[in-house]
Amino acid sequence: MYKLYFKQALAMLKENKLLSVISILGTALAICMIMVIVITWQIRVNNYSPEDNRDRTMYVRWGGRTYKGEQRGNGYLSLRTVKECFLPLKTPEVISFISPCRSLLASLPGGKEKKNCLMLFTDDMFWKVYNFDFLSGSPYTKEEVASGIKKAVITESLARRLYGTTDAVGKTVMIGYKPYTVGGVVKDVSTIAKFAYAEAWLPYSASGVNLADETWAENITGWFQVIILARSSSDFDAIRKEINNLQAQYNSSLKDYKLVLYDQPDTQLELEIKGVGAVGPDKVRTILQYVLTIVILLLVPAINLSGMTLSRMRSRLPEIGIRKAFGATKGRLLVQILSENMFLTLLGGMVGLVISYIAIYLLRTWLLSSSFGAISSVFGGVPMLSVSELLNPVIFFYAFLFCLVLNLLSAGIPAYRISRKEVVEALNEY
Amino acid sequence: MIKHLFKIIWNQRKSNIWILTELMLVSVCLWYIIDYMSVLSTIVRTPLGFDIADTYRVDINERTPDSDNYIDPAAKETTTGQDLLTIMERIRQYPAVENVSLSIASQPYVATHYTNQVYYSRLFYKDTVGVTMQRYKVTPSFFRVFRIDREGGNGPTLSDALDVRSIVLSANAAAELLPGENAVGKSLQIGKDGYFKEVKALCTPIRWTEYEKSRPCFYALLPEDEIARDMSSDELANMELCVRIRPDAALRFSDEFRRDMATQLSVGNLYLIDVRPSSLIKRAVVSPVLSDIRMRLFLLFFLVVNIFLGISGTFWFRTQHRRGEMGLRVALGSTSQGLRTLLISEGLVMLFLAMLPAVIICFNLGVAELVNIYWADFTVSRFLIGTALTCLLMSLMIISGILYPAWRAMKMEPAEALHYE
Repeated sequence: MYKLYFKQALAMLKENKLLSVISILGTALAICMIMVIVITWQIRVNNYSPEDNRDRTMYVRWGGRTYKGEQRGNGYLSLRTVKECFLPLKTPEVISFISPCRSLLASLPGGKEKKNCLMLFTDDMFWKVYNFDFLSGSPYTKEEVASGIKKAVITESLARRLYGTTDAVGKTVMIGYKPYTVGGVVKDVSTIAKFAYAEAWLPYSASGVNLADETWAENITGWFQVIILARSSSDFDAIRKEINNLQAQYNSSLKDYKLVLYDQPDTQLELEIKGVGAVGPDKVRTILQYVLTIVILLLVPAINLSGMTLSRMRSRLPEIGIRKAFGATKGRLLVQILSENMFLTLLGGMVGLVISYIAIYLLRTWLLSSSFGAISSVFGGVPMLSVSELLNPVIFFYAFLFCLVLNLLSAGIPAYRISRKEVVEALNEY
Repeated sequence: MIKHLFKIIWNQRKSNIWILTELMLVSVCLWYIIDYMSVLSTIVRTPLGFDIADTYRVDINERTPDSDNYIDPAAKETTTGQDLLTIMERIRQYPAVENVSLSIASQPYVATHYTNQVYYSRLFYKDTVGVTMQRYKVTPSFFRVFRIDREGGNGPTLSDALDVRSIVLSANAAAELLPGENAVGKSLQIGKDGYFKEVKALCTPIRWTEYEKSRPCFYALLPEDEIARDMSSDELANMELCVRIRPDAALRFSDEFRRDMATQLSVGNLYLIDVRPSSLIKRAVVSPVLSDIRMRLFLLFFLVVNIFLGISGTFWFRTQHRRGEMGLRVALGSTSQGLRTLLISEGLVMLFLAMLPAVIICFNLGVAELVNIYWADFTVSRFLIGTALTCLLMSLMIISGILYPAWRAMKMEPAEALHYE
C-alpha cells in the first residue's frame, strides 16, 4: 500500500511541477538552516579529534579572588592552587594542567627561518587526556617535565616550515631564542579542538616565560588551567564534591584571600555557553534561545508550506470524495496524505542536509570562530573539518526528526480538515 | 464600508482564524527582525572615534637568562624602560613611519577593562558616587597615531593638551559627569581619595569595537621618565607600541620593516618579535562577534523571505478562491477600482485585527529584555518605529499577494465567474 502512495506522490509531483519545486525548495532551505545550527553546535560540543573524550572532560579555567570577603578580580589558577586543590583528586582518571596559549617566536639556530607561533605549556599528563597522532617521536615524560628539560613537540606544518621534513625528532629549534630539542612531531590540530590546539607544545617547567604565582594574592592565582578527565560522565558530581572539599581545606589555610571557583568545573557544554568569561550567560536561557530559534525556523516555513499543501489538497477534493464514498476511513485518508507529504518533505530534507554541509564547509571560518579560534585563524589556522566527524549518524537522525516535525506541522492540519469533509460536499466540488 | 468588511470577516471566521493567527505570529517575527536590524545599523554607523588605517603594532620581547646574547642586568647600563624608549626613537626615525606612540591598555580593539571612578566635587557638594570611566594611559603622540579628534573647534590639539597634571576627557563622559556645564578647565578626582587632574580638552566619544556602545573614558599621560624608571620586564607585554605609517609605504611595510629594523631594534635584552597591522588585530577581536551577527542575519533574511512568500501566497490563494464571489460583484455592477479597494481594505483590516495582540506581545518582548538591549536601550521611539515599519511591510506583502489574482479575476467574463459560483 505504501508503494501505491509512493507512486501517487511521484505522479502528483510531476503533475504540479512548479508547486512541488517550490515546496521542496522551501523545505530544503528550512532544513538547511536548522541543520547548520545543529551541526555547528554538535561540532562545538561533541568529541572532536584529538579531543576524543569531551563527553567525560571537565575544565577549570578561572579562579576568583576575594580579599576579606570583597571581590578582587579573577585570574588563572596558580601552580600552588593546582597542586593543592586539583592534583590530589582521587575520582578522575587523569588530571592535567596547562598554561593558555601565547605566541612565541620559533626559529632555526642561526635564525633564518622564523615563525611567530602559538604555543601551549603543558604537563606530562596532557598527552594522556588527548589523543594526538604522533608522526614521529613521543611526548615529554614526567621525569623530563620535573627536571625542566627543554623538549618540544611541534606540528607537522611547523616541522615542514622549519626543516622541510616531518622527520625532525632530535633536531634543535629556537623558541624565543632559546634552544629546544624536538621530541615529537604530531599531525596538525584543527582550531575546533580549542583546548588542545597549538602549533607547538612545551613543558611548563621549561617554558622560559614567567609563570610565577601571583604572590600579592597569597599565591592563589597565576597562569594555569586544569583539565579533568573522568572515568565516565556519571562521576561528575562526585568530582565536584571532592573539589569542594579540597577547596574548603585550601581556603582554611589562607589568611585574608580566599579562592572562589564560581560553579566550575565546567563540562564541555557549559564551556561553550560561557565562552571566554568566568561566569557566562545563564545556561538555561541560552539553551532556551536555541530551542526557540529552531521552533521559529520550523514554524514559519511550516505555515508557508501548509498554505501550499492546502491548495494542493483542495484540487484533490473530488478524488477524496470518491474514495470516501467507496468506504475509505478518515484515518486511512489522513495517513495517506501525511505519507505523501512526508515523501516530499524527506526529499526536501535530503537536499537541505547536503546544502547545509556545503554551507558549513564554505562558511567555516565564520561559523566556527570562537574567540580563541579567531586569534589562531589570524595566525593562519582555518578550522579543519574532518569528514568522518561530520557524517555522524546522530546528525542524520536529527535531520529526519526535524523533517518529521515539519511535515506534521505543515500537512497535519490541512490533512485533518480535508479528511473530515463530508462526502457529499467533497463530491459536490467534482 | 468598514462595517461591511467586518461582517465579511466575521462570516468567514472559521477559516479566517487561521489566517489571523498566522498574521499575528508572522508580525511578531517581523517586528523582532526589524528591531534587530535597526539597532544593528545604528550601532555600526556610529563613529568609532579613532582611525586604524595604516597603523601597526610592534611586538617587543625580552630575552631571559638562558637565551643567546643575554646581557646580565648587573652588566647593563640602561634599564628595560630606557631600552624601550630607544627602540621607540629608532622607529620614529624610520622613513616610512609618520608617528609612533606607547600606551597601556589603550590600543583600539585591544583595550582591556581598566576603569577608574571619577568624581567631580563642587563647592559645598562632595561627590561620593562619581562615574565609572575607562582609563587610557598614553603618550601624547597616541592621538596623532590613531587620529583621535577634539570635540568642538577651538583650543590646543589633544597631543598638546596632555601633560602630567591634566587629562583629556571624552565628550560623553563630560556629559555624564557634568551635565550642561563646560568640562574644560574643571578639576576632577581620579579614584577615591585619588589625585586631582585638570580637564584640558575634550575628545570625541571612543568605542571599543564596531559592536559596542561608546563608554565614558579619559586619557592620562604615560610619561617617558616613568617608563624609563619604573617599567619592569613583566609589564613589557602590556606596552603597546603603535605606529602610523605613510599611506604610500603601506604595501610591503611589514616585510621591509622586519628586514631593515630587526638588528636596530635589538637593544639591550629586547628584540623585535613581530609587526602586525591593526586590521589583523581588529579581525581577531571582531570575528567572533561578526560571525555571530552574520549567522543571525542569514537566519533573519531566510525568515523574511519565508514570511514574504507565506503572506503573499496565503492571500494569493485566498483571493483566487473567491473568484466566484468577485465575479458576482462585477456582475452586480462593482467597478474594478471598487473591487480592488474592497479586497485590499479587507486585507488591511485583517492585518489590523492581527496586529492588536501582536503589538502587545512585542511590547512585552521589549520590556522583558528579550530584544537586544546591549546596543541601544529599549525606548518608546524604538518600539513605535519598529511597529510602524512592521505594519508597512506587512501591508505591502498583503497588497502584493492580492493584486495579481484580483486583476485576473476582474478580467474574466462575468458569466464565467458566475459559472464558478
